[in-house]
Amino acid sequence: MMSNVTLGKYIPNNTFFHRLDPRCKLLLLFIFMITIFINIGMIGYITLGLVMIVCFILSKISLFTVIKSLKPMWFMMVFILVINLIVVKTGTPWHIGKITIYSNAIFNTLKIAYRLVLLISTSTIFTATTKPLDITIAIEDLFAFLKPIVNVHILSMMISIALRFIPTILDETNRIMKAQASRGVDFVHGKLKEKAKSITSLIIPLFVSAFARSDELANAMEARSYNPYAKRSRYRKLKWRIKDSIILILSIILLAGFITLAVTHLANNWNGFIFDWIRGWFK
Amino acid sequence: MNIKINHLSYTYPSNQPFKEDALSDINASIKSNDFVAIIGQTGSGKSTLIQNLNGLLIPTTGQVEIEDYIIKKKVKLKNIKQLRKKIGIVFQFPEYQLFEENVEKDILFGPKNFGFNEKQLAGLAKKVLEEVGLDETFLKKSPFELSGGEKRRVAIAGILAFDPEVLIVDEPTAGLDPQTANKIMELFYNLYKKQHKTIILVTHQMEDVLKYANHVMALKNGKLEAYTTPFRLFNDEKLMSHLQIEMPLILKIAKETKKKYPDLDLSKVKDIDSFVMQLKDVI
Amino acid sequence: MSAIKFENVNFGYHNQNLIIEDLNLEIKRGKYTVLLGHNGSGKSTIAKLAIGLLECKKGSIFVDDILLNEENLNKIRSKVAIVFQNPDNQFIGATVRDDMAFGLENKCVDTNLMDGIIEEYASKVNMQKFLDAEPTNLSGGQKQRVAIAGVLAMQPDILILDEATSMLDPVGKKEIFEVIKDLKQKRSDMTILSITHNIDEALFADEIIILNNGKVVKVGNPSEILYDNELLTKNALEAPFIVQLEESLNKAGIKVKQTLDVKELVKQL
Repeated sequence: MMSNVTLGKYIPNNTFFHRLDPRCKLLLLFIFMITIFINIGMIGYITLGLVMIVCFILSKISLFTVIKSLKPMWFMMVFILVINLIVVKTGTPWHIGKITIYSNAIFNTLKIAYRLVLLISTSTIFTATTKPLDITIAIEDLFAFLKPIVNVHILSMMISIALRFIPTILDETNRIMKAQASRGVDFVHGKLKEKAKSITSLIIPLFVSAFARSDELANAMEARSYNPYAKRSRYRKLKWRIKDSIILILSIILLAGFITLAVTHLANNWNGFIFDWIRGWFK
Repeated sequence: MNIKINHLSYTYPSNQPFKEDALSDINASIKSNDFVAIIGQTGSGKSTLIQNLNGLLIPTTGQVEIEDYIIKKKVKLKNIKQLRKKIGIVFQFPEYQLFEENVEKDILFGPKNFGFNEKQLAGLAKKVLEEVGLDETFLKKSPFELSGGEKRRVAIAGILAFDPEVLIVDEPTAGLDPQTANKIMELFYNLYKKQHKTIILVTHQMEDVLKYANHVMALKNGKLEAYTTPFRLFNDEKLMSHLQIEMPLILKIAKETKKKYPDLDLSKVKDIDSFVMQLKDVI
Repeated sequence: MSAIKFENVNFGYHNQNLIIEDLNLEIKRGKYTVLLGHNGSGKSTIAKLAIGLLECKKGSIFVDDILLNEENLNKIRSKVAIVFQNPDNQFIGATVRDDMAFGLENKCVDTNLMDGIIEEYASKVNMQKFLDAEPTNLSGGQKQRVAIAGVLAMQPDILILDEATSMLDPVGKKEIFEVIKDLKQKRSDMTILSITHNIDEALFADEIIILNNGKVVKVGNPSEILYDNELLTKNALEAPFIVQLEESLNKAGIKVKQTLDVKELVKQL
């Protein structure tokens, strides 16, 4: 059940995207996310979609992976559709039997769905082409300017340890579930009360072992003279190349273009609140 | 309860991130009240095999027959709970499955899941605790304040409590000091001798195989390479080097001694005591 | 000359009973010492005290004749390396390389030198082929070897193995034994302290210390201790297989002389 997670999984390869500096990719991720959240209108969204398709081709991620990573969205989409159908009463009314639905409810849902697809695609490309360890280093580097306020190194160390232990903890979860199933626990069926009990029989051992692990890990780190506040050298160093700069500049230009597009009303009015907010900002 | 394994193969889903061990075309049957050891290097498929015996895993192809139960792909297992009550598994490091606030509750967790009534539950925890060599003062203690060896015993008691007919134990002595380990092995041997249970022991300890088991299954790379008696296995040097296992020291010594005393009956050498007895007879 | 010295040390968690009471202990420099004790004899606590992961309530601890206190902690930790029991819970990096680099980073070793050091020490434990492997793809024995290489790369004077083999399968145990034997031969200046309940590790020790209930019961060399079945049994330990056999034989009236060598014993029969 937990082995089907594709979202956020690194896929080893050696494509153009794999070779980009992780810091560059992290910045690109931010830029794309901002762009997606701004209401950039029909033209903007189609352009962005095309850019995304090019990115997928360049990063050699199979369509199958993308579709699989979109899987967890279905439930959310149905939920949004239902809410929209109830709340939105504008646009052309359509009569299906005794129920009346409005066209805008459908369009609104489609818009949200499209944005979500773009959002998940961006993060899929990012995580599929960047090693988790490199992400943490990129975070540490990019946020280095925060050093006087927070210790970014601790944050990045925490993330990398979390990433390191995800497979171990999944393995453990699997093992405890099997052990409890052998003691007659049914994790699937049963009444609410029984279910609560079966979850407890999984969660408590999991926590107990996670605490024991963290204790031992802390000992092992401290014994190897680790001190997060002391000066440390670093084994992994990132290399920023000219192509990273070029890509970054191109993306910023693209973002600037979209913002202009949105502000100057060239876009269809898709009544997003961010759009209004930005317009107000420029007045 | 006879267990019949027919052409059992098992492969893990390919996207499983962990290194797991497949099985291919296993054929074997285990008779009631037998003591069977399963041996093989780490990764040979021992754990996968035992999980196929109580429906935690379902064979990819082939089947397992246990009385009326047929564990097979695409055939829904009726009353899987009753099957798990009959076939108890003590997993490796079972202390990780403890979760209740006190030892008594934890031991009774399994029996309650399997629908034991008040009358059956009364005095049960105390009885099984005694079987594993702990007195009733432990009943009200929290399982988390016990020592490693005590936790292990409590976890085993939690399986014995629902009185399975077949007891599968996966490396029950790993990490324990020799005296505790011996006591635990004696416990399983007594269950086999006095309560006529079927014991399936997964182990790396060839001394235990020689001393306790009637039959031994040897796995390598997911294949059943041999299903024979310990005596035959340890006399087949070709097979042993193929399986990369070493002969128990006592048998090695007995073999050397036999060169001097040809009357020595090697088939009766199980441990130090039986060797010394045999030797006394021939000198 | 002592590598580690405990003087009248007391230790207990919070307000609970003392686990270690009035302990006096000396680990000799450049020797391979085995500290034997059953589950719960307090032996792992000693390791944690010696590198300052736990603080003793009373008494003093010296490492290389330096008093262990807040001020000297870093100095002492740079001299002592420790490998713990659970191979999973001490693998910090994402790959073997990164894990071995972790200690070097803490020591502020120059980045350009790291790869050389990593390769050198990985080959000492025969792991040079797995430098880019992730922990999920390594066996327990391999992970422990990485842990040993990782701490050796920090060039300690003292290596403590805290039940480093107890969670491993026989193949893994053997791998670690080989590494220890090799170290003992090639690095005669290094102090090795193995904390264990596995008597087989004691067979080639220079000195054995038996611990029970947080107290030193006996100190001696293998021939003094390993033949003493009564002493071992009393402390919930087991004599080596061959010693048990000899005693059984003698009891049955088949007289044999003491030996730790199997061939020698068979010859006597």
